[in-house]
Amino acid sequence: MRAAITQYYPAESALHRADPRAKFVAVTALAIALFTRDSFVALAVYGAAGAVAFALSRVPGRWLWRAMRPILWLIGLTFVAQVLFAPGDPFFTLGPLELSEEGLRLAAYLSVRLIVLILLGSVLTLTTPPVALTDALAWLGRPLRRLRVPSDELALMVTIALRFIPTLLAELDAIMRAQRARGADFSSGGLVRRARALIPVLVPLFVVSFRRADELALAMEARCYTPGVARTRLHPLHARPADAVLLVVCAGVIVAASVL
Amino acid sequence: MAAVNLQNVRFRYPGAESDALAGLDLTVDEGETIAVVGPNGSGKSTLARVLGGLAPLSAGREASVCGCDLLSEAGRLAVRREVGVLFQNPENQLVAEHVEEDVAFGLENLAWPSERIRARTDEMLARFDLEKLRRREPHLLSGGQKQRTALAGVLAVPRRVLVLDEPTAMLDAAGRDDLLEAVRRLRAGGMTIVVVTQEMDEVDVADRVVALEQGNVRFDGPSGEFFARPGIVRRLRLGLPMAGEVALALAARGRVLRRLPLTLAELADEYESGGAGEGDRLRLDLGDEPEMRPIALAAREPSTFSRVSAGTTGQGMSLRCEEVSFAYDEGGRPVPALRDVSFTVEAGASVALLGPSGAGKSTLLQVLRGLLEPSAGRVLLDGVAPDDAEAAARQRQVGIVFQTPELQLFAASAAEDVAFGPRHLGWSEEAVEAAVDAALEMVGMPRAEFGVRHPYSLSGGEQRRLALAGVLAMQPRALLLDEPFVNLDPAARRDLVAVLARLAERGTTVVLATHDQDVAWELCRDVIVLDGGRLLTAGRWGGPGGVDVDARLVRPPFLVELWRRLGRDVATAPRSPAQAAEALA
Repeated sequence: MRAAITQYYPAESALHRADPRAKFVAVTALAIALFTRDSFVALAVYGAAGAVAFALSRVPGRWLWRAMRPILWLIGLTFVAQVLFAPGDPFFTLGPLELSEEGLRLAAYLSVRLIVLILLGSVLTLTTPPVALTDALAWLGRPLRRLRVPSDELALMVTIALRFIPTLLAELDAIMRAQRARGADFSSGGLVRRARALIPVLVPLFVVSFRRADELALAMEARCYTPGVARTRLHPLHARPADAVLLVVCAGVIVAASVL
Repeated sequence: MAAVNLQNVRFRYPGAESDALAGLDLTVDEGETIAVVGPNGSGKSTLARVLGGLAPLSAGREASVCGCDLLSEAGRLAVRREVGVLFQNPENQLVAEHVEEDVAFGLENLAWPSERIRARTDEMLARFDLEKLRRREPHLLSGGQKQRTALAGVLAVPRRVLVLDEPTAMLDAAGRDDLLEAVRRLRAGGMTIVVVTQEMDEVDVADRVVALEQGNVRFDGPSGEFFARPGIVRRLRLGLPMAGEVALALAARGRVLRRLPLTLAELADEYESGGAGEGDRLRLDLGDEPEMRPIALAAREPSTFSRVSAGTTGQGMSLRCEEVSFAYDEGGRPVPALRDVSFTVEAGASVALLGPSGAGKSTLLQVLRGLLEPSAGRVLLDGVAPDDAEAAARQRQVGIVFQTPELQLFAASAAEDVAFGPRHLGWSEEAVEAAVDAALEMVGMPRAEFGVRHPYSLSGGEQRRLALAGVLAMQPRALLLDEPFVNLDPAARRDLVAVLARLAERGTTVVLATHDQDVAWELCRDVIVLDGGRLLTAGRWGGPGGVDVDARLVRPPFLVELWRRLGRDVATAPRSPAQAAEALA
């Protein structure tokens, strides 16, 4: 059940130890750079960088496959669409179908980009627990506080949401089982009928969740939580020399991809 | 110096018609432990919130807690640093992704430097025996572990006063003992403690008892004095340990009590020293106000049942497991939950399904109902094998009541909710209506009074019985119940026991999975004991020829132990406090 919610794969690796802020900045920079130059050499450099990072993460390959698999059909679809609708001189025509070298190349660029993008994103999410990622985003979003964006509060909100997903799933399961034992049928009939069948599940789920929100707010206040007041952390984010190395390597990859 | 000093304080919830606290006075000295008791709606939980600075008082002559003035907003915020509040539901108090971060949450909020947070968190983890669980995610903890984590988190902020709001109501026996032990240690350490409870054995940890009724104090005195007045105890509908129930039953038969015994030893002592000096004798005071009304169960058999269920063979259904095994799939890895389980439950029998947590009780119930497919072996309902064309129809005649079944309530009225199951059986509207009437009647919630009520406007006990009615409306010939008494207040528990007793009497096969041996002993004549997914015992429970139940796994019922202690024949042990009193009087 865990795998379905978060991607994080606990292991001991340099990438697991790296500061989530550095990882997030590096992956974002690479992802943006990935779309700046139409060149197979550049794409190969990014792909190689992603592959090396994944190897360093010590995450079993099937976890990457698991992340990649559901998106493959999307990649296939965009490839076909690109090939069919891209402009260019056709070298092959079959009725309304036209294939051009230009179209094939554009389609290949896009597909490779998407694959490398998922690879980079997976390295980030497989080596970083979601809450660490949230903390990193909150830190990076701090300048936005001048614009009254409550980045720390938003981060806590996401943390709490993540914390309660398994609870909510367990409750959903329990309610569905109980209603099924009362004869409810969630898997047959048309769309409307199926949607209606969910009412006896969703109503109790909402009620439980609202009650929970109430009680949780009270328990947080009881533990001296006041929104808007600065907090400290048990495990504050810690940048180390290795994180600087990570960023320098990342910059090097981007430079190499631009000049090659 | 008094840690708590409330004088004539009032609190009213927005939109409520009357005060939840109506001019209440309360003082608690530094280092004192008090128990706050009272029926639902008496203001106990409100008081807990007020003390924690979590609810603003509407009025009061004086309201100071740890030197903070609760009548001011600033005082309410300041008092949150001094007073810790532990709530009832352990799930809804944990906010962080791991145990250690959750324990640190309060300190993070107070912006302690990280090194100090770390030191203090380590200290708390050690003190509450959570070190091994520090990196565990909250949803993977047991209820008792969750509540211990929550307590460690509340106390991580150095506190002068600890308020506990029914802290064990949602825990199993082991979790309860753990938490009460922690409270005893805190008390010995000099902490000022206010524990809100409905269970008398929890009152036992306190120096003083404060009983509330309608937002006011009705009794305030040393716990010894409280226990010497069973009349008050009864009037407040508190949950008595079995010893207390037996003593009250004896008193009802004219026996004179010196004080209310709470343990087996105290009861045996009280019973054996029957000729106490006239001086310490105390007439049982049953209170000057009428008792709260117990639920009304119709005496007659609802005739609608027989009309609708015509065509089925007899009332109860026999259940038979033949070498049943079951394994859960956890990430591709099979985790066995039942191994080679075989037994037969005769039609109309009432069976207690006992065993420690994780023994496979819930799994077995679901396998019996056909909700989980056994990986080996088979279940026969009424002798009908699962590959028989009749099997699905038989499965529909097995009702299952899951843990906290009130979670399944969703409709806008009680009657509508109960009708949900029968409608899915494709019965005629007339038959559905008759089934709803009968089911509501059966659980003591007659349609005329409850039919149009919104399920969520009902009390916790009523919601649970309504959920049971939703299952009974499908007219099951066997009823499987998974921990039906958990998280019910004492009065609601007694009401539910009465309903189940009547069902069993009517001939419905009942399988009751529970941790409460005493209720099981009262309701069930047969027993099945599971441990680690294996069947240990199955057969008659007690009486001549009864099977031996391993006392290391399942604590013997109180009344059996009492009989042993009094040197009587265990095979004749009574089933209820009333029966015990009859035999002893």
